[in-house]
Amino acid sequence: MPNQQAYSMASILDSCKRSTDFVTTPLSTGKESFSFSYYKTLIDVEGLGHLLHALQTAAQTEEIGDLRGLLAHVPMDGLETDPDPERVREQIFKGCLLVYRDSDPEGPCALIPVPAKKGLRSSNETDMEFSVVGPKIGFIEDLDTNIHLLRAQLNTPDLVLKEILVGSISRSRVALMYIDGVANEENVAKMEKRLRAIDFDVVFDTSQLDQIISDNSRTPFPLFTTTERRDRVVYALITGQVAVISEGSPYFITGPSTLFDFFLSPEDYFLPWILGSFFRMIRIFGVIFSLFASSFYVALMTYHYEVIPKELLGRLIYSRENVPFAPFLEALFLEITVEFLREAGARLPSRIGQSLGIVGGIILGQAAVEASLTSNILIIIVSLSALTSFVTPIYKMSNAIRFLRFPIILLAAVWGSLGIAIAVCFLLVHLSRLRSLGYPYTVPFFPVRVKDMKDSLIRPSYAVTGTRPSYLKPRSRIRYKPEAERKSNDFDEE
Amino acid sequence: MDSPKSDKFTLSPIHLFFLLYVSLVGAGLMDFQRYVSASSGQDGWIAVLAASLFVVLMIWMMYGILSRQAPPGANLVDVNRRYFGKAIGAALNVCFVVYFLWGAFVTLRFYLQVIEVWIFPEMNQWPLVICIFALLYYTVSGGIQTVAGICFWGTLSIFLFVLPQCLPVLPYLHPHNMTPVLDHSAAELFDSTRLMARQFLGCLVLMAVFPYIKEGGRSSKWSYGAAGAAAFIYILMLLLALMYFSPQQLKETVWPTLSVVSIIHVPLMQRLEYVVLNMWLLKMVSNISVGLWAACHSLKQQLRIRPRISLAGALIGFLILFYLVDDPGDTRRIISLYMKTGEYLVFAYIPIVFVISRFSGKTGTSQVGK
Repeated sequence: MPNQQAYSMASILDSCKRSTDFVTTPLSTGKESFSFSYYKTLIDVEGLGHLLHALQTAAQTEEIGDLRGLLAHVPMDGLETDPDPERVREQIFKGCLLVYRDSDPEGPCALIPVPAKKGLRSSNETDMEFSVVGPKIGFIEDLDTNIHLLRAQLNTPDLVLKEILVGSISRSRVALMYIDGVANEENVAKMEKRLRAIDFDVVFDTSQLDQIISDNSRTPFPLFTTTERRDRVVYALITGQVAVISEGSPYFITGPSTLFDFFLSPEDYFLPWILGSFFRMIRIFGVIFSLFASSFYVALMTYHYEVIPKELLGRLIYSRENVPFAPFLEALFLEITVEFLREAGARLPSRIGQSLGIVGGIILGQAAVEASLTSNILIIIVSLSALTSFVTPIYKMSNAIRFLRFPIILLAAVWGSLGIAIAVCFLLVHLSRLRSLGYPYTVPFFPVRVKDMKDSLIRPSYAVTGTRPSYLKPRSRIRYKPEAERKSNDFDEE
Repeated sequence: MDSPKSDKFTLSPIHLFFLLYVSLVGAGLMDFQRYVSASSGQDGWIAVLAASLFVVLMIWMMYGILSRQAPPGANLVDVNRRYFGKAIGAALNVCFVVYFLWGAFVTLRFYLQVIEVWIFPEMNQWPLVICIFALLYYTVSGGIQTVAGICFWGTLSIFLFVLPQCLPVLPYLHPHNMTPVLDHSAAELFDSTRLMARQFLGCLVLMAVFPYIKEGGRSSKWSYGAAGAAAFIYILMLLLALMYFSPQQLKETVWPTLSVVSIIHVPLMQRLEYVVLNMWLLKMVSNISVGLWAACHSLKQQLRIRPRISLAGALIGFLILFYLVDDPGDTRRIISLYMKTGEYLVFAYIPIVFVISRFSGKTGTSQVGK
């Protein structure tokens, strides 16, 4: 662990007492007097009052001579007697009371956990990953609540939780969760090793850990799935992935992830499989459209007029006859405007964001066409591709897609559709090189795993998805047995 | 020689299909119809079929050679050293390295020539060449897995983009162009077969990538599958061209495949060859990077040169060659030289080694030869 240094009890107490919210409450039992030291801002004072009251009453009826006697009256589990100073320093920030005898602060002491004060939001509806069908339970900024939410759905002792402290200053608890007997131990060990190797000061969010432990930091693509949805994490766990969350973050990361994990939404599984598959294909098509639509426009308008049939070419030329810019600048100008709108909208409260959308989207667009700064066909293409970049359920992936549009537009402006082909090649090579927790990113397409392809482009019926994907090397392949009775009958036969 | 490859670098047998398919179907797909039909006319498809069968035979022989080696030595470089001795083996290996590089260069040169003539006649090619070289470096330096990855996408792109385009061409075909069947002499057919077989010179790549395939011995069905798929694409393209053009037209058409594609129009697009030719880059990049990878890998085994260095060296060499080989005449000459040399270096070499390995005492573990 980083920043390890020897503490003594006295030095800890001294250093804590520099803060005015570190207080000491005395408790006299007649024979002996004890001190309870704690951060009053970290502790639920009401709970503490109950505890002290109970001890006071106990002291009146019975003589309490030493610390052990006192602790016998504390109606709580998880008491630690004689913890080492390092442990005290840690636990005092996690909502524990430190008890010691007044006469001997250096002597025996104990840690009593009391309910921690929680100033957290009470609503845990999903904000970012919304779905129409299905549960809307999302995680919040409290680690214990998040773990509670997971355990409430996965009622099995096989759901294993490992806690790791990360951050030399924040000492944040980071929870590593997996299902024993499903997840491959190698993946768990690899993730744990990477988490333990982290040297960082303050962990604000799981997504920071995501970047620190990712296999390759020189990529716009997210290599672990980041999600705030409980159903998504549970689904990842039951397929054999490993989930990690840090204290204070409402986001889990799960891995090893593949590119296609980012295009599937839990909703696919709540709708009938035909609809789920249809929506998933719409999503994938939307992403491809979003990546290439405006660059295709630039390529065609700059170099390959021949490709456009003359009926359409007439419309196109008419729409941009007064536009004074090259198609590249025109497209770049509009794409950047859309990015401005998105970035401004993301920083504003939702009500102002709405009016911003109207001002930006409708008024600006209309005015830009009327002022002949851009062609209205390009406006259609750019706003469609902005729209389609948001069809990915995971925000980080839509960021990556929107970012990638710019180099593609640039290449299209330089070499037309050959430039787009170069971009496609670079993209595919890059994707083939990526690894998530050591596993290829584009599996099951490359490397080809024919058996795992069934739940990728389409979401097939539950009757055929009884096995876990093999690329995760799960400890047991069988997830569930599909209805055994179902027979393929001819009509009119029993 | 090499230690057993870890899971991270090996490929499951199915990937051999993509690697081999990409090596078999190269830039020649654009203009082979002209050569094949030159002497055998409408019977050219028989020549393609015969050439494909010949390649299947070659693949069978390569498996025969490879199965007689101890697993770590089952590759081109070690086979040469085993059967031809240290000095001659090394010389042969260097020959093959040069040959792989040459093949990669020829493909690139040919493709860019088409681009230059068909799409960008006025363009300064250098920025484009440098950009493509960066792409090639990025691909090959990712190792066999990345090369196989791009081969996968390259193969997929052919089947996704090219096959559907055959449908709109159908109304323009003249099936009677195909008659009379079997109207040519055996010598004419042999000529065509020989020209066609030259398209398949890339099959030697199998010997270089073989150690990276898991359960290599059982991968043969994928290799034959690749040969079959290649034959299918070639025959399809040949039939389209034969039925679309009159024999005289076909003689005059430089790139028949592109000319056929150019008449297709779909609701939002026409002149699709602009798009097809550009998307062909994916296929070309995969073909070239397989050759580059095989060259760099063999060089590492033979001379212990680090692949990154030899890769960079090869690309710089390509740049210089690009400067030297500039006009279409030169390109045609180096291509035909490449193909003529290839006949000896590949199609004579494989049977010879096959025979040697059959009767040689120096077998590996499997002892099949005795």
